[in-house]
Amino acid sequence: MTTDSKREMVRLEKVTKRFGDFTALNGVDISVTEGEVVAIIGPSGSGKSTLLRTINQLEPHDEGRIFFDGVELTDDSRTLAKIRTETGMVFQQFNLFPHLTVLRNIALAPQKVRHLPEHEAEERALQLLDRVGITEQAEKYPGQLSGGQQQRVAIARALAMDPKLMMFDEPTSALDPEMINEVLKVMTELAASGMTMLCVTHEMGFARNAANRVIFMDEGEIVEIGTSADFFTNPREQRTKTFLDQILTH
Amino acid sequence: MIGTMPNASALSRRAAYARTRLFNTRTNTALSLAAIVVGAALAFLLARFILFDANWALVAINRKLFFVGSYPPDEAFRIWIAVFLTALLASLSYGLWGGNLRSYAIAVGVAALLILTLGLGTELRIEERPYTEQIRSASGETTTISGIERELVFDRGWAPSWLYAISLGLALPFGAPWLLMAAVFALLVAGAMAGRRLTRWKTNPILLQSIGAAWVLLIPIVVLLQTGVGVDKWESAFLDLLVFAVGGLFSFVIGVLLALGRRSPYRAISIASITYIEVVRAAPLLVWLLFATFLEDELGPVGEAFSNISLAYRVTVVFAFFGGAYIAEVVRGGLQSIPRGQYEAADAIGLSPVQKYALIILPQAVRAVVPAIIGRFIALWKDTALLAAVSLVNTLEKAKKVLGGQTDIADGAFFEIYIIVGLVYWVVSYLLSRLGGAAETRLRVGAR
Ligand SMILES: Nc1ncnc2c1ncn2[C@@H]1O[C@H](COP(=O)(O)OP(=O)(O)O)[C@@H](O)[C@H]1O
Ligand SMILES: [Mg+2]
Repeated sequence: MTTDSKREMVRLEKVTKRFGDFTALNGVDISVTEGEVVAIIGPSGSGKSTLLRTINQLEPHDEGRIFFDGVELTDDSRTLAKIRTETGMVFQQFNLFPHLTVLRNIALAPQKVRHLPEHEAEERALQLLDRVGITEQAEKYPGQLSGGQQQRVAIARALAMDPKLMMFDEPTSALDPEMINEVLKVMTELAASGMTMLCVTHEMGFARNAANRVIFMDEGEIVEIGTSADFFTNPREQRTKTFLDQILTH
Repeated sequence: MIGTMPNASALSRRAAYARTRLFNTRTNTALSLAAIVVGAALAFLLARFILFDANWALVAINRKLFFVGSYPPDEAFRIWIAVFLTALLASLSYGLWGGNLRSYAIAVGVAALLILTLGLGTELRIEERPYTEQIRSASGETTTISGIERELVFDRGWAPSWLYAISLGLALPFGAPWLLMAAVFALLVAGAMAGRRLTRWKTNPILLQSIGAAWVLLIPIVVLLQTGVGVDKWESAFLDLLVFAVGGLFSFVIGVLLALGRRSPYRAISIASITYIEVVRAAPLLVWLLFATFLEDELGPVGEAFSNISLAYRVTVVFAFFGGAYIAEVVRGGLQSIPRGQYEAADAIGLSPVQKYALIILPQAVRAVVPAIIGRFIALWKDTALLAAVSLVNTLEKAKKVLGGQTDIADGAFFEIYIIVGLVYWVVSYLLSRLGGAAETRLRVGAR
């Protein structure tokens, strides 16, 4: 099978999102195919988080259409349930449930939403913990873990529902520098395993090496989309060049 | 550094504490000395009263009245079942959640020893002596007056009378069968030990759920047990406890629902919740109790139906709804402390709105405000003192009745009686606050 014949996982058509008078997303068009890893970069306030959040409808969009796995997102509760259970989201601030153990954090959704028996849900949770490399922390509470460990638990939690799409919103921005790599390693492995991923990130190394395409956003619009090889070596737009100059040269 | 030395004895650590915190400056020393003098004087006066002046026999002879009022003695088994169930559940939970077993066993043991042995060889009775007296009036005639003089006679065994009276008065509501009382103490210890053995399965949800369910079921079971007697027989501390327990339980449920209602996206629900909370809190509990007492058919069929319910049930409903309005505000504070990310994470993993609140938001919100909730419960418990104002015979009212009705032996014994009334309120408040403290420490593990 060639890449072109792969199925389309997400498509946004002219998606607009406003907060009051402020337009956070302005007619955004994107298409992501299965197995693709897309990095989203751009200055703060450019609408990167809002873009991810409209896709799983944490923020309902105002105009345009969003398709996920062939189904258009409406305010119908069934499509809402579909998008929420079939996508995983990893937040900058981890957002783990502090009153539940690591194991319960991961097993909760499969058990309550998919109605898996408890032992099965927890067995799978342990496998996922193994995958992110922290099996020994299963019975601890999130507050007892380091930032890097917490974010890996958050990734395991998002994976627990077997999502078709994983979205990361600056997953390493809240971490101490020495913990960034352990999280990026998990993400890189995930990308290599064929997961469809949308990653908002400031880690240009990850964007260049692990992503297939890079999207540059500014002021609620997509300024430039390119393959990761092209994007960093031959940016076409002046705004992209300025941004890359700023972050690459510090 | 002295204070943290590992082998410093507790006494020298306290001495060090006193030196550095109480007597470190001239002003501090003066203030400390003044406080010690005043405190010692008060303690001396109180001790003198308790040990020498007080008429504790009056309390001892009326102890049953203080605890269960005129509860029919033939039906005492209903109260004993309630006592046994509560003791079993409380001790089991205490052991299970890692309470300090040694100090617990010592406390129970000392209480048992005192209470079970103090009564031995004592006797309390009213002696009646006929008397005649001749009175010469101003005009020179003599009249003979005769009557019966009553005196409370208290033959004590080995224990000083005050100790006997207090311990027995507190713990033997029924002039209790000795064996039953002993069984309660045995159960308190055995239950805690059994609970400790169960600790291993503490993470087993079935165990936790059964114990939780047992606690929730305890109140309805106790109330159902009482229905055989008729609610008009509920009196004294027993009445207070029932109104508090049932009203408190429901006030928590109502409070949580109101707090959620207040932030409901449906305007009708949120406006109704806010109106309810504000209206209820705008008037004192006493006013609501009076409404509930005198409500007849003013509110149409609803009011009429309500007025046909026994008064004890009606005031319980008032306690539940009144307490609920306050709990709602406390829980609202807890809800506000939950960051938006928790809602988003719950949404993002696909939980339904009900699951999101039941599994993620409420457990954290309630945890965050445990001390304030316990505070509301303590306030609600002490508010049972108001039941006297709507002609229910609560502990306070019973005390007044004893003072007013037994003038021959109770003459002037206000202080003794009200000390006991105060103790009843204090013991329950104290247990609640200990419970709150324990809950806070146990729940801290999962705090953010
Ligand atoms: N819930 C909200 N209400 C109002 N404004 C918002 C909200 N969420 C985001 N915004 C605004 O939308 C813009 C884009 O935000 P965001 O998507 O978080 O940007 P980025 O993730 O690229 O930094 C920002 O100016 C932000 O202030
Ligand atoms: Mg952002």
